[in-house]
Amino acid sequence: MDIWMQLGIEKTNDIRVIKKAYARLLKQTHPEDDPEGYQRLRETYDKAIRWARNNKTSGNIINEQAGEPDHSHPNTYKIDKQGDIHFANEAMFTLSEDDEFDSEKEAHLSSLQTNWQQTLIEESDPVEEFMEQTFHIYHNFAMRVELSNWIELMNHPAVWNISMQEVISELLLDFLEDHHYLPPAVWELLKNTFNWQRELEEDQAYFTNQYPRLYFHMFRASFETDEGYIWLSRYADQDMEHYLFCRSAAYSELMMGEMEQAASKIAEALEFVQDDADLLRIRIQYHILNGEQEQAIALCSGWLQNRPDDRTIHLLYFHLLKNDANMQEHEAYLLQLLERYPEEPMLHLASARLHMGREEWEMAESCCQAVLGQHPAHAEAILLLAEVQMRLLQQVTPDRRRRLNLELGRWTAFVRIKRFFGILLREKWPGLLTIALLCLVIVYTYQSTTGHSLGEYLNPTGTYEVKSGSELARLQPGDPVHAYAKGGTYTDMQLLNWVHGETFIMSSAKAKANNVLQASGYLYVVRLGQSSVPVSVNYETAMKLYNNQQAELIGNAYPLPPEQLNTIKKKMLGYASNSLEGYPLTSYYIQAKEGKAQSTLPPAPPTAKFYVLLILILFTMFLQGVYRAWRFSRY
Amino acid sequence: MLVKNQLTLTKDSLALLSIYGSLSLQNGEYFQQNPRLLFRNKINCRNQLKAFWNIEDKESMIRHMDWVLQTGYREEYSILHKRFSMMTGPACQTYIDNLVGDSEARYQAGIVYQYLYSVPVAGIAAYDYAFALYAAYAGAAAGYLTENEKNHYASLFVQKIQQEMNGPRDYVLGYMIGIQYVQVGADPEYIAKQKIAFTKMITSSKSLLYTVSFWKKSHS
Repeated sequence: MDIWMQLGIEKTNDIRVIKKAYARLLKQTHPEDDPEGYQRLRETYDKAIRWARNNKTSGNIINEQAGEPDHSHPNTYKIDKQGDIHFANEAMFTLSEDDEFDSEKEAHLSSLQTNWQQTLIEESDPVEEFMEQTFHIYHNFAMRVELSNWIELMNHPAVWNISMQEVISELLLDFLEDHHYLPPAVWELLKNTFNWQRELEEDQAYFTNQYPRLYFHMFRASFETDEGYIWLSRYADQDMEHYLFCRSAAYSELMMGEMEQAASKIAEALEFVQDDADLLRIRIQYHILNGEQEQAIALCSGWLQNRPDDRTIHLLYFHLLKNDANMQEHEAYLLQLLERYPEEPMLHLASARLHMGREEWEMAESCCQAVLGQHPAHAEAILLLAEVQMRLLQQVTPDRRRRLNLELGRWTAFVRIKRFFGILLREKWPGLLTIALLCLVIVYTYQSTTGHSLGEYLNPTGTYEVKSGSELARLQPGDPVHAYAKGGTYTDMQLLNWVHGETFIMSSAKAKANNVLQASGYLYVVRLGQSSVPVSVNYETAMKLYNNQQAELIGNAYPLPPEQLNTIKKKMLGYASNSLEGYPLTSYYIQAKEGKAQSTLPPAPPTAKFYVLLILILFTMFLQGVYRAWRFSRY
Repeated sequence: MLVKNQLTLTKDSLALLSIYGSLSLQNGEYFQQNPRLLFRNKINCRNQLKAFWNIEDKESMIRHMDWVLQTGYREEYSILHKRFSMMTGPACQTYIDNLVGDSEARYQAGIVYQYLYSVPVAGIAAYDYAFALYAAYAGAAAGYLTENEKNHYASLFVQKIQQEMNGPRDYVLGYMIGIQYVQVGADPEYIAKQKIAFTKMITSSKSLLYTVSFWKKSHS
């Protein structure tokens, strides 16, 4: 059978109509008497609700039954960025200020009543009776604000009848959506009795969409208080519905940042009631947000004269006063508040500031500590305490100063050094390790490719000072030597070092003919001590020796093969004066053609340069790390 | 002149986002003094952006930056703060106690109530801006923002900080409250544990906040 036929209504997406049909049928199908029938009805109801939700388009109610009254109300609330609902400017349920207001309201209320009566016409008496009582309590303001009346209502037999409870819950939700000015305690009672919290959690989107105003009043943080409602009962003869609307609207406008609208609603509300604490807080907040600090202070001050026990206003008032430059003037007031509300952190911190102003640092410290004792993570107390302790440092004993320094993170030199190396090693150990590995690689590379250790390259053999030719025999081939010689015998021969390390001696004429005169050195035999030493020199040195001037010889000492020694000897013997007589020829010669000593080590391996470059880069990064660690350790 | 302005902007931005370094429990002070290290690693930056704000590409990066510019966490904080300011103390407490089903909302409401009279005028904007500055630099390091875009956002946030905060103290306080409010899952005693890192931002003469061009004078 079609679900709509089962429900006995035309196809509609108006959930209220479906609910009412369900409520009506539920009374005929008791779950305990006819569980199967109840199950079928419930499934039909669920299907219809699902269909209605899926086919709900904003503002369009599908209703095939001509003339069916539309119970839906346009959403008169704004939804802010947090998803919170507030009154819109053009609230439908305005109870507006025009002259026709009363008659409109009456018409509205009577139409609601008629609807209830129509709805309940076929319903059993307990439900009808319950709704009539609800209507009665709500529309009598003095009764409405009394929680006991609602508690009594909740004890009505219909509420505790399982088959009726669901119906009542639905009817009540619909009723309260349009009649929502209730004290918080009443909301709490209703919410708990009918388990509406669970209903909200099951389908929040549906609930907030179906009952936006009810949701706003029942589940959101409300500025309204039970005491406020009870206070208003003395104005029950006035149009409280309109007053409450203005007050709520002022709050909502303020939340939305619509200052002008808020001001207008506040003014309107004040025409009815001037001494409502709930409205007062809205007014104070309005002035604060509007930058009118003085007016806010005046409101608090005026209010407290009549209501000296209002804790919230006291704290608000003091909060406004604490920015006053002459805080000292308010000391008595602060002490009075501290006595009354000793657990209030704001007052302790204000007290700390007061002591700071008088340079009573110890007292200020204990005030901050009092707050931190209760709230160890209180940000303002932490910062204020640090400021106080910084000042205290100048006055306390060395022992106390040490403890304060620790609390403030002002480290000793030892700790700073430890922090420096600690962070440096922690941050840079990979770099340091890489540098060390690269060094090892370089050492190994030198040894394996040149046969010489890196140490030999870094610290080459020093130059030997040669005074006598006999000293040359003690040297290693290629050792660098330095000597001074004066005069000597030119052999008219050239000494040529071949690339493969051999020496070759030829006459000057032959060298010229072979075009190697530039490449070879002039071969002289000079006297060093009691020996004659062959030396290969460049032209400038040769000229000095020729002119019997002192010449500096810097080069390397090498042994000469015997046959070449003999060639030199023969040449020398051919000269008129045998200069070798008494001065035997050494088996070493000095290669001084370049005027400098040549390294005896083979060239460095080319990869070593790359490794050195890498080390330099890593070292630069390490230096950066040192700089950062230094900044950290001095902080 | 242009180069000088750019240098000032970079210096100010790095000094202001140095507070972000305090997120590190072990090396908070080290990062505060060396804020560039916060975004030296591209992969790390990408991971952080993803973890904090689900930023995975340029589009989500820009969307996030614009959200912080327009709204941020400061707006929801300010709404709740405004609401509590118009409620009585017991009503606030009851409201918080009733949020049993939503521990996150309950915790956040508790924070707002705790700092009802302590929060700076700008609320927790310092938290939004410091994190946004970090996001801009990390976004550039991660390749989601160009240098120009990074500088554009950095200059906007630095300007906002200059306009809305009275000095380093306001900035640090707003940031600390913001941390407590936003990072719901974090250790509730985090602030107490990082006490030194936060207080040094205002008590140490070497604090980078005192090198910010518009706060230098007030410090000296």
